[in-house]
Amino acid sequence: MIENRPMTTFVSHTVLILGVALIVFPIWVMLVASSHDALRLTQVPLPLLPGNQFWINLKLLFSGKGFSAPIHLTLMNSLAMALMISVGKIVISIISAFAIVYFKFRFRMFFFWMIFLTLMLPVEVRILPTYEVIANFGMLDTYAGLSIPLIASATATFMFRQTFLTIPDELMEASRIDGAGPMRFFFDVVIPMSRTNIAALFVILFIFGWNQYLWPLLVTTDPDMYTVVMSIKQMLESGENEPQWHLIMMTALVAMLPPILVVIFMQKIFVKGLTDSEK
Amino acid sequence: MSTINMQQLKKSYQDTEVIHGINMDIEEGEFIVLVGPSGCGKSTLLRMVAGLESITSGEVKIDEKVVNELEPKDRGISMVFQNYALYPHMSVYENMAYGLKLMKMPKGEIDNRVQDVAKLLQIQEYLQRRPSNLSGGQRQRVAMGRAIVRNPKVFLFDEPLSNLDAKLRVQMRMQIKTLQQKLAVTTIYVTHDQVEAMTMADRLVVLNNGIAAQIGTPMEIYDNPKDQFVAGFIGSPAMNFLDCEVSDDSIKIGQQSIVTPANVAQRGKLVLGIRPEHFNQSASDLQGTVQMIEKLGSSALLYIKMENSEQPVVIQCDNQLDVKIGDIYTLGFNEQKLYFFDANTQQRIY
Repeated sequence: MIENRPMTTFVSHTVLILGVALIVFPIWVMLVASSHDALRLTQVPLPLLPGNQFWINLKLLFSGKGFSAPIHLTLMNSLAMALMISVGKIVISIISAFAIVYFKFRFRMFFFWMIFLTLMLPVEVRILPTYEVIANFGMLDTYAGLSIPLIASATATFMFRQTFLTIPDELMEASRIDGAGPMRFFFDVVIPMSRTNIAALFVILFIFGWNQYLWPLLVTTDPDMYTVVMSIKQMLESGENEPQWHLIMMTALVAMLPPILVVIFMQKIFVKGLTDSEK
Repeated sequence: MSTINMQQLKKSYQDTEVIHGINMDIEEGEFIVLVGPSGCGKSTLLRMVAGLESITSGEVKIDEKVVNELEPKDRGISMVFQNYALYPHMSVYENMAYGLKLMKMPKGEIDNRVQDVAKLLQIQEYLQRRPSNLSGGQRQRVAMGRAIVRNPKVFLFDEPLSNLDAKLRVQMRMQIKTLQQKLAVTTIYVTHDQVEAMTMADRLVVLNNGIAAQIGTPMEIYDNPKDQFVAGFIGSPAMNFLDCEVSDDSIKIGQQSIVTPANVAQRGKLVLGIRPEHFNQSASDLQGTVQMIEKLGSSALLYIKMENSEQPVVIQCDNQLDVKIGDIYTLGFNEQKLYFFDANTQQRIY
């Protein structure tokens, strides 16, 4: 639609600016709050312009003083969990999608629909039995306990299945004639041809893993195993004391960074993976 | 150089049989073309030889060795697919080398072979390119290169030219044929295009509904089709068929009649067949109205509407012929070139 009326331009820009402001304002508040000291944040009105405490707060956060765990520890935990979840999800779902698409076996469709059905059961629904299982395996307060229950993924399996269905059958036949067994075909043809999809999925899954809140809250009791996202919540409940808003905001700010970096650096390949088919 | 034998080869999907017992012996270095309308089972048959489809019953032998249960890679075949099936993420070189790499061939030898074949097919300049950066004809040659480089006992082609434009198709047709003669590798080639079939084949197999309707050299099949299906399928434009009633002294076609040729002994309802190129313009046997004229350049096709017949009769004639649509046109038969088929069994009688 190409129209050149000042009124429409004005209205559409207003709507866009409002939309952006709605999302940016909280982030701005966070940024501002993280650059003031504790005292200033207890006074009304709240500041809307940055203060001069930013680096001091940042240093304080990494020193771990006044908190149960220093932030670089929780960041490492988050990173480990997010990576284990996203890599694990990709590995498991790419293999199961490969089995469902390229092998004929009894109850193939049954298994596909079983996997598909689990889409309807998010973590929260099965959280108690899952906790029970993890506890009995003695995996509380471990990386395995943090990530394994979140690894099975119907969405990723489904997405890989759709990708594989677009790979022409002749390629499989050609590689059979060339003498490639199923796993050779998997590694030499299927995986290289799904590269962009894998990358796109990695972005989504990394953010999913990074933002996990409820599950880490349940399975970790040792402060050394806290993830950064849940540590924010822990800070709010620091007993009798006033919540340390400047540090809480600083933590939130730091916690936001890795997903943003992943998106920025993988954006190109991400869009390509969702839209492009080079077949 | 290998022989291929098929004995009572059958294929069923669940309860439907699609290939009803094919018997065929292919000699060393022969170029066999499987031709037939779509859905006649020609690709299925080829894929059974390749090992991509299981064999329900019967036997396929390559070099006198039953290969029914062998994996495709162990049969000594290579195949060219209709859509080429090149690996899109590998360069031309890697595409050709992939099979050899899996055979655990030393790198130096792989390189020699790929370079040799690339030279043979004149694709040396594209060796480092991806298939997506090649034109249709180039991809086609790469696909053939991938087949040749494995040094197979048998080449299998599954409609390799149908994705190319008409001009390129004629070019590649010649190239494939020349190449096959040079390499002298036994070849099975599937096509639905009867011109391709006629021009390339040493022997043709005309398939109809999973049955080998006729096997023979192209000219044998053109001159002596066994039944109405083969007669109608081979030859372009297709043979004309006219329902007729034969009595002792005349053959009645609609309201008109011609004199019964001496060699026709059977009486009653038959189907008369005549090829568009076999009309005799100096004789005058039947009359019809010119419905359409197609000028082909070197010749022209006349579509003559006959009474009592829905299909127009097609005549190939001189381009200079002075006729207009709506004219009454007189057809003349060449008695030696008439074919007669049984109206019920469709088998050829005369």
